[in-house]
Amino acid sequence: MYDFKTCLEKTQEVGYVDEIIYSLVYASGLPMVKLYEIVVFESGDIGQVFSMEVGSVKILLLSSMSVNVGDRIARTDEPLKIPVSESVMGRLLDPLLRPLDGGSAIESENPMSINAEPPQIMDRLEVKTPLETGVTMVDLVVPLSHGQRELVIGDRKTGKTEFLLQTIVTQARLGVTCIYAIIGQKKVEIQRLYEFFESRGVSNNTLIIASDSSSQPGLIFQTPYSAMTVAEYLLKKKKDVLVVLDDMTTHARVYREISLLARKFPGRAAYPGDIFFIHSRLLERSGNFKRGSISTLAVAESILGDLSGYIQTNLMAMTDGHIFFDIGLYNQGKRPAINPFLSVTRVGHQTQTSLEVDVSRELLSFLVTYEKMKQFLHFGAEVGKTVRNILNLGERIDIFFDQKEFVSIPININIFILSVIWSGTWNESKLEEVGRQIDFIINLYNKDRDFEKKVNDLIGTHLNFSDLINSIRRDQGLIPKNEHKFSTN
Amino acid sequence: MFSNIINKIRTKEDVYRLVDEIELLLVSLYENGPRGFNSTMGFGVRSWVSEILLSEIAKMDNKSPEEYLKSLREVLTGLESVNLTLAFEPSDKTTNKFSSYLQESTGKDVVLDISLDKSILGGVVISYRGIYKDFSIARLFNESSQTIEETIREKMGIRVT
Repeated sequence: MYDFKTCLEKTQEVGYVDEIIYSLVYASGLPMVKLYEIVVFESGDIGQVFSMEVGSVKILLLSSMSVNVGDRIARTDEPLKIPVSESVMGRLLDPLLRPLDGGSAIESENPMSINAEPPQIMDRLEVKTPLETGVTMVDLVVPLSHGQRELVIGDRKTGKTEFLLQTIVTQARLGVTCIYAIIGQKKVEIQRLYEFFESRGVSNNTLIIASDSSSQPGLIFQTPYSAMTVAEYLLKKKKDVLVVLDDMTTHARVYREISLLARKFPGRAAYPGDIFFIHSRLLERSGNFKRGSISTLAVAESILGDLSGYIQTNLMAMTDGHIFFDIGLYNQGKRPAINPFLSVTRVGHQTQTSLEVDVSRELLSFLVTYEKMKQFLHFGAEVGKTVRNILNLGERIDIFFDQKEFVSIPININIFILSVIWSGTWNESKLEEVGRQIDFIINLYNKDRDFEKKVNDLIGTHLNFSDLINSIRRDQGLIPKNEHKFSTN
Repeated sequence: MFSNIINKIRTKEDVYRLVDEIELLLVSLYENGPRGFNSTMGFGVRSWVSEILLSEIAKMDNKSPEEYLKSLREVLTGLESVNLTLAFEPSDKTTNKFSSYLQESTGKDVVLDISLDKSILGGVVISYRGIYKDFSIARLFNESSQTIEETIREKMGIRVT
């Protein structure tokens, strides 16, 4: 990529390696070097200027460590650039866009700097288009929109990745370009995700930019910036892009490691003082713009369901809401284990239709009541008819929200099924049969164009939830019957 | 105070050798007999070094030899170096020429850090305070190789398709 001798002749400046501490090189010389500039070592390794002091430059290694004390260093007079082109789609690449899938190298006539300034306020637009995830709970209760930055937070193994994959598959099938930035994860996991996209047939609209846990810390640190740069390139091509940053707590940990090695003053939890800037500078690059949108799903890992961690609260402050995956709900067997009461969407509702807003409001209000009633039952109290009705409806809604892995459910059929449940049609049915009937209706919607049209027309002609329920109650013929499997008590 | 001795230093090797001698003298300050300061000054260091050091130490009023030697060591290790890459091993005369020219042009006490690289063919590559200047024959050849190639092709009537 960069040739040492050519760079030396071009910039006429040389530096010498004085000290190497893990992935950080302390060097002297290079009098006119700039912050974030790429430098080349005599060994062919490349590094990025991380910080500067009088007479000393700290360089973060971006390639394998074959650097020795006394080696010469040359400037490139360039910031870190990556060769972005449309041929990146469907590929598995490292943060410098070098192939990890054994494919050909990416070539570009106009490499882009990965440290771009976030767009100015006048270039931005209000978010207007909903972003369908295919996950019922999210689409109905915590809706997202194109250009939104949403934090996905939860403990390890609570279904965050499944949710992200489902969202990517749903969006990729709708023609949105999806970039999955894997930050410092296991190599086997990276390979699994790559194969997953191939198996789902969405490779053409997806791209993985990955750094594994054994990569240089400098390279892991650059992963989300690289993904955002590719997103900006695609934005220039007037595309809507979805970026998934998995995960930002690992990114923060890597940055902490680098900063401590660089003797930056440690702050809270030993993170450096500029950790907020480092993350917000990245997330501010997404949004809704005149040319298209960059939506970002940033992932944060919590410990024992604690949402008040330093990095977690920082990320909450710089995103437009968060989806909380509750370990308690996960252990109860709920899938996805999203806690609707602790999840927030700040801009998602403004992109919904009036019917969707109404459904969302009614549903959340009901879920609060249902939760209270369940708590009330813990006292062993005898319950009246009203409470029984609430619990009965709640149980059916629990089944409605219980979603199989990687099954995307379009929002219109979600609203339709919810309305059927709400109308009391299945009040007398066994819970398993309700589940089977829901699956049957979803399958029918996905396969039968007439039924799909009928449902879409029905949803499209109603402005509020109660009218929709009344229509369903009046015309029971709208509800398809799974005659072979479905029966009432 | 140190100019007499620093004027005699030209290369980084000179610095290392002198620093080694100073270290030896510093140790000898606390020894008696054949390893003592006077004996070491007589037999352990080069004659011109002992001559200058003895005359400088004699000139001092309050300072002890230890203080003087430590200060000298500090000055020597702090001397800036100019890296020179040459295609040949320079003679004393050439080294002196380089040294005096560079002392004059930088206006500072500098020492030469000379390395040998035959691939530069001739000329010199200089780096000082991070500035790198390539005045080698190899670079000139590389730069003009395209022009030469074109000229040869032209004269021989070879066309590049």
